[in-house]
Amino acid sequence: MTTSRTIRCGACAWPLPPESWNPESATACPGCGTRTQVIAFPALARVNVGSAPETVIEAAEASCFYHAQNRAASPCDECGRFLCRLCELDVDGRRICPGCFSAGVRGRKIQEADTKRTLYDSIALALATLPVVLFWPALVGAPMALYFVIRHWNSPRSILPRTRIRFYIAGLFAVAEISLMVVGIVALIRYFPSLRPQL
Amino acid sequence: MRIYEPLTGKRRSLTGFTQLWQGPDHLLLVNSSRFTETYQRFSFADIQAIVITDGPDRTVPQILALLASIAWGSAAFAVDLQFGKWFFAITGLLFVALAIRDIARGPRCRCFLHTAVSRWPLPPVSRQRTARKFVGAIVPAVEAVQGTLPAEQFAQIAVSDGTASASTGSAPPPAISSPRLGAVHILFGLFFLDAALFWVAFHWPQTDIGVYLLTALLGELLLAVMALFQGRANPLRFSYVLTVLAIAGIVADSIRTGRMMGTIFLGAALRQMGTLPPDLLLPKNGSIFAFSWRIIAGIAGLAAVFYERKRTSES
Repeated sequence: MTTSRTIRCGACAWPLPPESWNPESATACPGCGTRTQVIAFPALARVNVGSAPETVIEAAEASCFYHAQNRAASPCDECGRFLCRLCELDVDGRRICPGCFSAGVRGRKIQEADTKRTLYDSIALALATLPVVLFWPALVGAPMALYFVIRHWNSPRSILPRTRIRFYIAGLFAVAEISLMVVGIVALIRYFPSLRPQL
Repeated sequence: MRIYEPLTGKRRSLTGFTQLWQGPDHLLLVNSSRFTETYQRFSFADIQAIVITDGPDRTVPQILALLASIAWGSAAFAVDLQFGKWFFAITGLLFVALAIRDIARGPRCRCFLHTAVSRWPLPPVSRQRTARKFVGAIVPAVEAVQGTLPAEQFAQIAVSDGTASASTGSAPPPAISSPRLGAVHILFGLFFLDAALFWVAFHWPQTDIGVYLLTALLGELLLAVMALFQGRANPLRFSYVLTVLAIAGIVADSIRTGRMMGTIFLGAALRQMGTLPPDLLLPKNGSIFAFSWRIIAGIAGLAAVFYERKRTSES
């Protein structure tokens, strides 16, 4: 992967000269003339050099679990496997191996690496409310909404601030719809005897 | 515990929204599809630069949208049906409110975030007012981690990366080629199709094809306005002038066809007559005019467009 320290115009992608970095006011892009403001930070001057792993010289030396030719630098804080400089991952101040990192992401134990969340409360609310518009789909939508509320009450929610209000509303809607359906069926059977099962 | 604070409002679309949040040591870009959220994190330590570029000037389209919304809403005074009055009034007010909101949000901009390995667009920062607030919040947070970049290092960085020679050299920026098929091409091509529609509608009224004329005219009008905007920077003005003339023709046809449609929908004549006389929907002179000018404008317009393209490529 190559790194770049070129800052480009947002309109034409033309490289912006250093004179236009961090000015008092926005300057015109030399490529397209569009007014552009560049805010540059010291990371631009930093040259990132990764630490290279050392090679095993003697057979008695501890080697990396994943790369047998590389000398072990540290053990994994989760599973204890030896890791070379290439494999040790710094997560929350702990050094862990790629395997534990992958398992942690899958098990949602490392929130910093979480890239996607399903919003079950929004799904439940949609199932409880939208089918009502078409009436008949509510026969399926309401029980499904209730299932989602119960099944995913403790599932991980959004990493952003979010309350359980959608679950509450979805649950109330679903219970109300199911109750109405039951009352409707009972009323039909009570007032239309021909619908009663013949025993 | 609340670890994220919102940096921008939600930029909504039909399928969801995007929003920027500030974390303890990173910037979080959230893409939501209503039922799922995807996250992208940019560590404050890794942010090299933030670039904010002015967006295209939308003053003319905004004013046009406002006028179109008012025109739509004022149709409430032109119809007699109670439902029609309410429909046009409510939708017109809604469109006017949206147009005013768009103007009130201020000029547009584009924002990009540069790291060592990526140049990432930040869609929530799409207005200059939002950009100022965003910069006001994010710059202190990044500088708290990285410090400030001294001005004397700028030239050093640019020389080591070749930016200085690339941007200050004599080589001009690459030309941005215009799209091969623009609105003007489609418009002049559509004139032939609509001329045929007018011909069929007049000669064979029993086909009921005339009911599509208003839709066709609206499509022509929208395409013509688009063509005017796309061609505003064109130094050769042949197709531009033809498009303006065509708009006059489309408006004349729309008034005539709209009046006839109104007669049909609002009058009791149709109910009494049972069948539609051919020249009620389309008077003979009007149809011949609509057919003829479209054929002429289509031929002249396409010829002008290809001539302009040839001249532009030669120069």
